[in-house]
Amino acid sequence: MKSRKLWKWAFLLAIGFSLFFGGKSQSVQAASKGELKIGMEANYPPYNWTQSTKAHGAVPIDGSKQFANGYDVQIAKIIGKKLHRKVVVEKTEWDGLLPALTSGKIDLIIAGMSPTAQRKKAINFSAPYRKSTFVVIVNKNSKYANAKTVNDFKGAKITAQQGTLHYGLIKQLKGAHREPAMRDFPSMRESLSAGTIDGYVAEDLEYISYKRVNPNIKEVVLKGQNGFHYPASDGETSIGVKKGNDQLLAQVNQILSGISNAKRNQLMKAAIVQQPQTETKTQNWFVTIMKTYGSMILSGVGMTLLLALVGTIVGFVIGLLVGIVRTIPTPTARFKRWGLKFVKWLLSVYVEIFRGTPMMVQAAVIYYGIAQLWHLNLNRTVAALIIVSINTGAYLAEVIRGGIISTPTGQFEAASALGMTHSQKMWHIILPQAIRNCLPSITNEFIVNIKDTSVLSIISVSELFFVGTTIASQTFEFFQTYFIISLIYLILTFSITRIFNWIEKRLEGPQNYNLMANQVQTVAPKLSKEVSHD
Amino acid sequence: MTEPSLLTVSHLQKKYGDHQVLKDISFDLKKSEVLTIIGPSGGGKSTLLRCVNLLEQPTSGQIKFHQENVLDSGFNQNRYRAKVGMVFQQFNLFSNKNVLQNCMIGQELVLKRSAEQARKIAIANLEKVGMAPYRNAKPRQLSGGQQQRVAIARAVCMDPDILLFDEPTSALDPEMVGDVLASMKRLAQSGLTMMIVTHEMAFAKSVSDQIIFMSQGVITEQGTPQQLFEKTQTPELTKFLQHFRQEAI
Repeated sequence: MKSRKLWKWAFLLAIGFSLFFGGKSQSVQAASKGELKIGMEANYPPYNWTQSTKAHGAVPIDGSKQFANGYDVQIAKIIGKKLHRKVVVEKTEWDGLLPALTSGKIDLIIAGMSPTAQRKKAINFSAPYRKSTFVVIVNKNSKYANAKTVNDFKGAKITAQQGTLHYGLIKQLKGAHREPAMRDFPSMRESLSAGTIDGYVAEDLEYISYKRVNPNIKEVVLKGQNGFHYPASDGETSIGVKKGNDQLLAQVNQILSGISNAKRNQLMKAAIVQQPQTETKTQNWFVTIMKTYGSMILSGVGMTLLLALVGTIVGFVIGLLVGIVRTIPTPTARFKRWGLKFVKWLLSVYVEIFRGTPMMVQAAVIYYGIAQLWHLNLNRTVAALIIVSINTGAYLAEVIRGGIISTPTGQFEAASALGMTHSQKMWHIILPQAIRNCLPSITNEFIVNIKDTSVLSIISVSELFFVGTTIASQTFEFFQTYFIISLIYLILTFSITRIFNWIEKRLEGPQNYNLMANQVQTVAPKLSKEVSHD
Repeated sequence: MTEPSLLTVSHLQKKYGDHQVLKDISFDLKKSEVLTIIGPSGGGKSTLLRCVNLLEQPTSGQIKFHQENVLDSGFNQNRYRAKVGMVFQQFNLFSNKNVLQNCMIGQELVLKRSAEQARKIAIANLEKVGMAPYRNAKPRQLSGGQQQRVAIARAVCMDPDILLFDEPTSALDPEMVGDVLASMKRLAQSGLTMMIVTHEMAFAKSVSDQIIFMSQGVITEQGTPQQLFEKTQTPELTKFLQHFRQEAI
């Protein structure tokens, strides 16, 4: 009987693995024939940004109700039109762009990216579609505002965007402190105005854009002998194409050569004018944000709740099954014993791996890795659900195992003495008690999930934190936006704690019991004294 | 009168590593007999009982139940356990179930009785120990003596061939002991085969057909209550009983 169950386990496991890794039904290349999938941050005005309407010829962002616009989007539209393919924007974090392209999740990177030698090792680049210069952006009243050469930045705290060549240029500023790189321009703008940095290296365009919303900044142009030195191509901006996709590369180059300089400048000027501005502050900021982004925040809350809820429930089921298997007593038969030992070993490997690595890393490995190795294009929400579930499962497996072993041995023995089988003992006696005792830890895990799903922004799942980042980058109201977001997190976790406390109470059952008046006796019987001590 | 034995234990040994807890234990239990095991703490009484119920795996020896060897690899241990009930020192009522459910669950799962039938039997047996009015209470809401009486009812509900009692009154306050012993005595009188580990000498004397005195893992003396209490043979038992005689009021 036990061995049959064991086989059932092995079978389920095998199915799980084959579903996970084996299916090649959905080929990435085939799926993208009709649409032209463009990867960009949609968070780097005036090249690309996110907006809530399709005004000024914006393009919908895949998997959301938002739209992308900007210089990159307009260039993408020209390419799409010539190729007779519908342009779809895949909003992707900067660090995720290259893996997304090499794994085939996107067809082109049009994201204000420069064709550096290092990147050229991984992907191919088109001819440039924009040339620019690098500047240091500082506050107008800063002591570095009048700097002329790379030698004038002694002691200055300078940063740049993570993974960009701007960050490498800081080394040329003699005596400057290279601060940790930041994720995006909005955070650098915020740091600059908050005074935590003295300046950041960016393109002249960033200066033009930022100047429109914040007149208190100044650009320091470093040219000539004592200026920045970099290969000519670094100032260029090109379109990234997957290696081996030479046909598409040729087509893109041909289309780019057909766009005149005048047309390019016109597009860039339009982008600078249209890029998101800080709104005129006539209304309360809270009302403004909620009015403009209320539905977006709500959908972020929905996604966060979905991830946390499904993740915790599926994780609980996984944890329960793993916890049960790991506490099965060693059978006497030799074959069963080795089989069980092997399954237990597999499960402990699972627990160790998923407890021992950050969920963010798991997300990146699973989402991009599966696409790259098996050409299986997982929907990112599905990927997120899978990741949260198996991650939670690994934690809860240990929690439940702990709950099972901490149930008093007397409970096991009393059940054994009645002749119950192992599974009867587990389902009717041990697990109800173990789960009840584990509830506080499960609540904990649920709350952790609500907060920690924010790391899934690395695969661009639009949960609450991702939404918050997007709003902040559009409104430049960092404190206000994140304040609202943190308030929502608090409300969510607080309500969930209450709900679980209620469930815990319910599981304890009624505290009152009424003495049952029965027909035979209504009082406790008088017991004969004959057998008491003599 | 040569009725076959219900339970025959022969040459039973139990070792924990090098420590030998039971050394060559043999005895016989006939239907409707009450066998009491007495002896100093650490003498192996509880271990013997737990070996009979297979809560501990004996190291060597034989346990025959209805002439069948319980320790054979093909033997259905769960079915055996259902017929050999056990009442524990610490009661061990299922804390997630109320009194009635505690008495019903074994009947339903193991004996496959219907809920209706199980309920009837449970209430009847709870009434016998005076606990029927408490059927909706959870174990932790009851006193020790009440819990132990429920535990006895739970075991009796399974219609066991033998009922084992592992120091059933040792964890109880003195004023609770009487109720539990009264319930046990009534069971003994009803013809149930019982094997009891206890420190209640007066009780042992009054209900037992056979008494085993165990010390240091061996059966030192064995016989009827009269033989052991009136015509004590060994110095060990004399010393052991002296302790109780001093205490008696």
